[in-house]
Amino acid sequence: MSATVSVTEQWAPWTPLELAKKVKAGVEQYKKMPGLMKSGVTYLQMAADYIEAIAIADRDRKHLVWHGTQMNTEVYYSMDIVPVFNEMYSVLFSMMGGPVKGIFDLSAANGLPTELCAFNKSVDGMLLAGIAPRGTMASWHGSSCDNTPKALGNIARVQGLPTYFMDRPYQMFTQHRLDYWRKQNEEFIASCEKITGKKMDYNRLKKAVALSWEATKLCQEIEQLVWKTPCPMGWEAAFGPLTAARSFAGHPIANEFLTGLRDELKERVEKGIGAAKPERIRYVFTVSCPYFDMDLIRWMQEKCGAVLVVDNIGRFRGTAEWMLDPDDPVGNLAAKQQFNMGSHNYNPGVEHKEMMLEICRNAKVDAAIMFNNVGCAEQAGLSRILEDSLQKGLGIPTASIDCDILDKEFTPREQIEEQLTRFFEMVENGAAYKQRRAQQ
Amino acid sequence: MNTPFKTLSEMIGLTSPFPEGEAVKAWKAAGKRVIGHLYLAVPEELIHAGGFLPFRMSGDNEPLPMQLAESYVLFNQCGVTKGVWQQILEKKYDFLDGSVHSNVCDGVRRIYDNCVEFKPTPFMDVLNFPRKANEDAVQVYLVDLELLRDRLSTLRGQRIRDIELKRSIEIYNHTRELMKQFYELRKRDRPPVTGTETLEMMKAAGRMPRETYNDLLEKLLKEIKSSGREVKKGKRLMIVGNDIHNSNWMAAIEELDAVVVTDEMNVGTRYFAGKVDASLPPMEGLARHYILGRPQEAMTFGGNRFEHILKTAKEYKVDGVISENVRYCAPVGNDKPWLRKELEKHGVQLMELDMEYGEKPSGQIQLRTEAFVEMLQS
Repeated sequence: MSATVSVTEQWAPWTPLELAKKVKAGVEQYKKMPGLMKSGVTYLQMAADYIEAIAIADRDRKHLVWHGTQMNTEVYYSMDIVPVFNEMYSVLFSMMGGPVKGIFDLSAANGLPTELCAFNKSVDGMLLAGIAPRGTMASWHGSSCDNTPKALGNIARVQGLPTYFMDRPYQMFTQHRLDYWRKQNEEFIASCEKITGKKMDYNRLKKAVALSWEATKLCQEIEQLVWKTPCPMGWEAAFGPLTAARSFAGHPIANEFLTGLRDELKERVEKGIGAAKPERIRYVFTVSCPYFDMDLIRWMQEKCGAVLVVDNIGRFRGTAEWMLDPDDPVGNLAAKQQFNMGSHNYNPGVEHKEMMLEICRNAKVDAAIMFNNVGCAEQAGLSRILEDSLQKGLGIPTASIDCDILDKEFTPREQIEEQLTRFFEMVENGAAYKQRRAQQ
Repeated sequence: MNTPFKTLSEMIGLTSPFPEGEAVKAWKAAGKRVIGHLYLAVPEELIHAGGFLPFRMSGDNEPLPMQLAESYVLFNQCGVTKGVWQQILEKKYDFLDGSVHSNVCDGVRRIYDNCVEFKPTPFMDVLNFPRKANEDAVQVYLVDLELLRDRLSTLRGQRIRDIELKRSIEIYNHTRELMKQFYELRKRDRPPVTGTETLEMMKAAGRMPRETYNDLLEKLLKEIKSSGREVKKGKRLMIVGNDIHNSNWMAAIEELDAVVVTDEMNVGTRYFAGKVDASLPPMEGLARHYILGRPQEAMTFGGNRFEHILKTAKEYKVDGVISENVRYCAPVGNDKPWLRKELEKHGVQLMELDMEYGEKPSGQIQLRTEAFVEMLQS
């Protein structure tokens, strides 16, 4: 299906196969750690399965499709295509201690401006180092942000891949835009048929869409449980729903994981088990989470008693009622985009703000953290809108931390810890916090 | 030293002080309304047909302090849109009766968000602009344009009629013809105008009533043609990348033994390339032109940006290209390595510059440009 890429000794430990081994080793380490949620282990196992499928796609003679955020993986899984999401792959590379700075340097030396999104620079660097998975196609959305279409376009150009580009309209809730979008979903399927040489089995797609719908509902159930006081979700499983719903939508793995997580959280709620002991602060990530150092979430939980109750990017929007007609899988997938995890980032800021206020109220949030990824103009332009509305509307202060979302060297860990420690103290001394606690 | 063109000075006078120049003041004094817009996603013809003055929001010849803007949007927002936001906060755009934005890039749509939240005008709109250039995109854009037409009609209190649109299309097509004629003069071995003068001429189009502008541009063309002026410079340059509105930046480049003969900017060749097909129903003509008929920007998938740059560079016989990128502009920034490869493949000399929007050229930029021009001469 593809040529084997030869890499230099420097980069050899970071090929897809080597990365898969590292994630697997991480699973074994998790298994030995005392006190973790079972779902923490299954979450990392899911990530390991994901990377392994990518690493062995060529051996198994499967098509590997690079894709960007918001793509409907249900289509890939229905056609036995292995998806590789540029952001997910980069996050796992960073989480496993991959030389992020090194690949950024390669990208910069090749001419990509250093202030662009980390996800562009990372895969660009991996391509230059010869350690990026070799795809057979690339498909992605526009109008998600400026960087995503460019990043995927770059991959397609370097690897010489056929492409399908989907133009996601801004403000989708109108019939003519939905029709436009639906047609592109049909063309997207046709593009997958073309590269695989197989026709889509629509009964299979229906089943995948049904699974995905069930996964959406599980995510919503999980969200309600996470909002309980004390919050039962530990750092180790916090990103499970996002991983499952984004990268395994339409695959049974997602549903198995989410069912297990839902049941475990239910049990913890019934037993009154909270993640932090004691729970001091309930916080939200307003835009993104610190992929560059996910251990910060453990640190906040264990050292500061701070628990993550809302990850903005890891939740479905509004009612998420996207299953319109079980016999029309393409129509359902088109409708899903309106509610997809993180899709509110790509809609008007006022909608994002209103949604954020509602969730923070419901989840009894005390504090907001904005990790300002330096390459993300989309976030940069939203900061004050969210900050002001949370402060004025609910008395929730925001800590804004400049970072590179993949490179832990960009902002020293000590600096972030110091900033967050002081921030949490400030939150606890606030009138709104005291009032919330008095009501509990 | 070339003698300044009287008509160009008149244009500059009418559009000064920036942004609320004499022409805008006179328009407002007559009780008429001004609608701001950004980039080429929003057809000016539609605003014009409603009897409003379309005003292109941008920076101008002075560097913009960004402190106020950065108290709302973070430092990593692109300078072009941050500069506009800075001026909105400084109340320099308070003369606007409304604005029409789009989703053409992250920066532009976030400026819309911030305007809605912190500085709303009586009329605010955002237009969905497709990032694909095909028939389906034309059709979806056409519906969205019709919806915008409805809202502008409501603002006016009367339906914008087809006949009004046709007249506006005719006027704007005439601008395109005149600008094309102007740029044709720059193809001469010794062009009669500088890049700095051209930029002033182009900027004025978005800052005064179009009928007045067309009259002035016709007059300017006659003045240039009869002047017999020749700009005697050694090398011919082209500017590609983000829009530059600071003429002092352009002038500093032209202090060297070089003249800027063309560009690929929205305030340049992209603005006047092609014409709205007047034989079509007017709204369809607009939709087709803005999606398919003009050179596309960096955000359009599979767009013709590179082809436009290469074709223009050849037509204007450029010796070198300055590829500039305003920091934090992702669409243009991401194109840079590929544009470099493309130009190198075609043997076009290139200098890449990363810069802050609106800045005057720093010593470093001047030094690099000087070295580039010297390299072209060797």
